[in-house]
Amino acid sequence: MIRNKIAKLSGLAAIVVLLLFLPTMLSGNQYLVSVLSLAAINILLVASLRNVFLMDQISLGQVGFSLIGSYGGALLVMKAGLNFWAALVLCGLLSAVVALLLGYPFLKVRGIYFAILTLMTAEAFRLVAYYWRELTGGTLGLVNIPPASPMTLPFIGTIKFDIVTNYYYIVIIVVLICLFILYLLERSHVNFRWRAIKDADELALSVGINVIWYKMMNFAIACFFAGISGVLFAFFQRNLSADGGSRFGITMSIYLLVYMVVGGHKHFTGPIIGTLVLTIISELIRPMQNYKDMVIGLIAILVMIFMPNGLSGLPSQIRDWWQQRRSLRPTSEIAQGSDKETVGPS
Amino acid sequence: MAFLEIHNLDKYFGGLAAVNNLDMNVEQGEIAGLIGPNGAGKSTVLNMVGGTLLPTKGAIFFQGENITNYPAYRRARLGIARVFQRNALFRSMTTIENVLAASYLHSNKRFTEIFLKSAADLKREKTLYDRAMELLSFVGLQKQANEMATSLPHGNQRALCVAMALASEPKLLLLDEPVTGMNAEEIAAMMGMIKSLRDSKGITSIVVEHNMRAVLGLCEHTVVLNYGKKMMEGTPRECVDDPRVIEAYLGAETDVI
Repeated sequence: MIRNKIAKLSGLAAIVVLLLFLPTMLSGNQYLVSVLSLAAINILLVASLRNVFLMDQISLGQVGFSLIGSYGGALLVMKAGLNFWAALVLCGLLSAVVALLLGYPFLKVRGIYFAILTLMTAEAFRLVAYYWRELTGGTLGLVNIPPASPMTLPFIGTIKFDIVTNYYYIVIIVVLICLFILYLLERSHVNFRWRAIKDADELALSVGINVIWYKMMNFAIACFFAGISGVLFAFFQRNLSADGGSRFGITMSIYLLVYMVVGGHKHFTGPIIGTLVLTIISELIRPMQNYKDMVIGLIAILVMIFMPNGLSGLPSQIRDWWQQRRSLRPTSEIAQGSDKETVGPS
Repeated sequence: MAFLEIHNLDKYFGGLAAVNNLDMNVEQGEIAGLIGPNGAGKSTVLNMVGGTLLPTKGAIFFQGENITNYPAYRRARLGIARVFQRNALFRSMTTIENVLAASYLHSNKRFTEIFLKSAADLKREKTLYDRAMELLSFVGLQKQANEMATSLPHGNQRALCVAMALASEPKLLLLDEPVTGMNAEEIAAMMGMIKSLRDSKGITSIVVEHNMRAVLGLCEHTVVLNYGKKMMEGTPRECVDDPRVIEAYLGAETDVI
């Protein structure tokens, strides 16, 4: 047990160290570092989607809450002159509060109805951002977002975040912390209650669980991290647009769902693996940009057919398959033996 | 003031009166039976006491407190526990996890446990686990503690449901058809269990049941419902022998001819 834990921890530490030295290793390749940063921002968004999915609810509205984070963060810094870090936390909280208010009516319905409600909410948020010209720049978009406030660290000196190879560190560290919190939540008694609600909400009520409050809490936590992801995006892109084809449109919502399904929703690593793999694939097929949706769709279909538990479920799927094969082996050996005997004399 | 009082309770589903002007009292320490033919509104009454359904009219008092419009989880906190008609279980969990999840009101989890578990937290966790194990051995399921709850046979699942209801340390237990679908042996065990709960812990029960032998052996006081109305009230023997009750269940002699 303890050895296993140490192995896991050291593996995790190795990944963190690798992530921190990656820009140096890539010798500051701006393109690769920005792909990675965007992937990390998306991973957080998919992880927030999966947090809602822990209650068996599909939210297609996480982009709407990341929009609150993006526009809120950018405007707080540009118009109110707030510090980047203050804006980051405030916009996470703002998203959470909005989610808490909307959660009460929304979470009384389940399944497809919840999905539709969240989808429409995200669209409503997007349209507000798209047409509120005075505040958000409207159809022209919000441009000239300043870089995140510079930081002075001991030994290293002052770091400016105007280039992506530096901003990458903020993204990686914030995303890692957020993922760690989500991971702890999933292993805690809180998720035990979410599971109970997912399994049988009427029974959960009758044993004294305040079901609607726990559902609202789940949704608010998920949207907090969606908001954080949004703020990170705003200071990554440094200009925002809310038109239909943008990051805040329906296509992105579907993409987030595809990332989760391809990665596998059963494991915490699912969103990470799914997002990374599909991001890399979409970058590789950049020359055939027009066919991107088709390729990703095809991959999603194939994964769903052959790997119902997604890429993160692959090790256990292989293990099961191997065990099944081994338990079948004696009979197949007999079959081979008899085969030889019959073949031999002739 | 009785332990549980139901005053002029009405429940309409659209135009249909599922329960009509029901008055019923249950005294503390009593095992009360609620019987009647199919569709008489027995489960509806139980659902309204448990909080799954809210009444259209009327009032319910539990230990003098008006709980008519309380949501189910608040009733659970007051000490009302349910055993549902179908085997309602947490499907993704093992037997012991089911009981642990049902021990919600006694789990006393701290918010900080998400991040770090202190020695006191671990001790509380251990106490909770021991308590759940005790409940499982009370219903005779300690050996199956780590099996998936849904893979247990029907009788055991029913017993698990009782253990889960007991996990909240209730004062009033609502049992919806506790012995349905059981064999004679399991019925005897379940009846013994409900009785011993009353005798050892003083838990009051309301039992909805079709099995008349179980009702006769278990209840001290029965209410007969027919078409949502109270037909009669008395000891189970009186009720079963009453010609009106027999007519409600089997039809009048003239109907047959």
